[in-house]
Amino acid sequence: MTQTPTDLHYLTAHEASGLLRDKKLSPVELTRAFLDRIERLDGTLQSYITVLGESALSDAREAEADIQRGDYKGPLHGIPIALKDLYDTEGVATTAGSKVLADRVPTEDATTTARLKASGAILLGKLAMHEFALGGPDPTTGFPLARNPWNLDHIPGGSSSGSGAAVAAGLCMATLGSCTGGSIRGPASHCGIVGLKATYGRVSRYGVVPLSWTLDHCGPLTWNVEDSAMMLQSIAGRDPKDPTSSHAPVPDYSASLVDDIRGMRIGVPRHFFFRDDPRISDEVLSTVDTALEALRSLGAQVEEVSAPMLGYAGAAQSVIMLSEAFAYHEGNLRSRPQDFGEMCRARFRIGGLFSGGDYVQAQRVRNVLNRELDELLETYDVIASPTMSNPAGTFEEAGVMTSARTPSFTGPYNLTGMPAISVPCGFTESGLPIGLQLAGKPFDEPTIIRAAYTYQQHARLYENRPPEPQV
Amino acid sequence: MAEPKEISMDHFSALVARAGLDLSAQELESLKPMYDHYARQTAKLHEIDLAAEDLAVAFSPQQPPATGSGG
Repeated sequence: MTQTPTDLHYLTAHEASGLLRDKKLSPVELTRAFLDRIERLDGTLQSYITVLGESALSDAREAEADIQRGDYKGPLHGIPIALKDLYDTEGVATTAGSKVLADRVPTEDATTTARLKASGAILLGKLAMHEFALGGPDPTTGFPLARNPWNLDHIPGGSSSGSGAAVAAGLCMATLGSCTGGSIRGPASHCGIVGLKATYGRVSRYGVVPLSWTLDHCGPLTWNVEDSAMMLQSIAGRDPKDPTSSHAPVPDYSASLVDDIRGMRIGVPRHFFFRDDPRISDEVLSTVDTALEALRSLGAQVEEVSAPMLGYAGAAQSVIMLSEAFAYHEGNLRSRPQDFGEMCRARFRIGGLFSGGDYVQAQRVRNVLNRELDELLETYDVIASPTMSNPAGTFEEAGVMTSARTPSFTGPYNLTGMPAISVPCGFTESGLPIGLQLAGKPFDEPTIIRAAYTYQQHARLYENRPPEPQV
Repeated sequence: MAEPKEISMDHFSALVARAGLDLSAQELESLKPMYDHYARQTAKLHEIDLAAEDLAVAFSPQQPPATGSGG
């Protein structure tokens, strides 16, 4: 063994994978290191809803036996992961962070869960999240509110709050979040890690509790770009159980881990993302501007572009998301409203108040935005921006309407279904992470992975880990 | 364009009832400011002059994979 148990939790999945494959690291030792760390720190970080200690160790022993006898399943074999608690797990409660589903134990794995298990990943547990994946920490749900490892007084972002916190704090090596308006990229940005929302249809959503059928996406949150590529490789591809999943062939994402963006064309809609708006942080904008300068210095052509329909994305997103959420939750909102937290109850009810005309008009605006960005991407390979308009706020600042009133920089790509990745690009003066968002053509994850990897290798922000939480 | 006028509480109650929701007077009071926020946002969508060919079609997962990979 080349590692001691105290540093195993800060290996990347990619690094651990090589050690596991070469039999220099035991899956059991690795899994035990994470379980010990969860036991020691998660009382403070609150990132897990369910910890699967016994089954994780049992799976790790099986992985060890498999690898020892030469039956190595691939890069995720023996890697300890965790899942946002809306991915169905056979025989394990899947609550979506809500009392409404508190007793729900699926009889079948989500397709993504099954694919990760088939890849040999070890499931450590299920992670905290904002109720039904709607943005904002809500103490009235009765579920744990994950805290940001960089500053425990601050939120880790959401709705994949536990996913962001657990990866950043070294409480799992990788995770899946879900994303309807930014719930993968947001926590990634706030927690100083990488979050990849693949193209709509790229990853099956079968067995994932929905928020909004036409906006929901699945994808990984990890410490670095290599690990996100590795996770996406395992979960991407057609699933007959999900009618929205695509037949498009899945490329080898590891081939995109190339440190070279020379000649890449990057468009920046500054009129939208860098506009003069008191709700947008100057510190975020200046940090991302520095990152864009770095991309230019690495050989990319970075140019200002225009996409006027971005200004309507937030309104279209709200109408579509809340209308679809109301359709899904209508029965429970009528029969057991007391089982929803205050935030979800109020915002889902609003979803029942839009007219049919509102919903159709929002979908038309979405279609025009899609066309506008498609046209841009005929000239540009990537659209770059800050991931979030602000660094992570405090729990005190997070009210029922906070996320609704803050400009969303991630939502436009849920509307268009384009792939988008968040990669760390700096810190505020107070030490909170800031993310750079890179979006690309539909199904062109390889290009955004390459851009993010190249930037990551230049910025080397992955060398910074959050302070060890005081327990 | 001017901000849309906020609807009255009576009108709001009727809207809530039409959605099949049974809310107390207190719940109606606390929900209405949120509704007003979203109504202002939504009104902007109706201001856009879209053409007849601008359909309400969502993204198609059957779209073929992109051929370009940049740079």
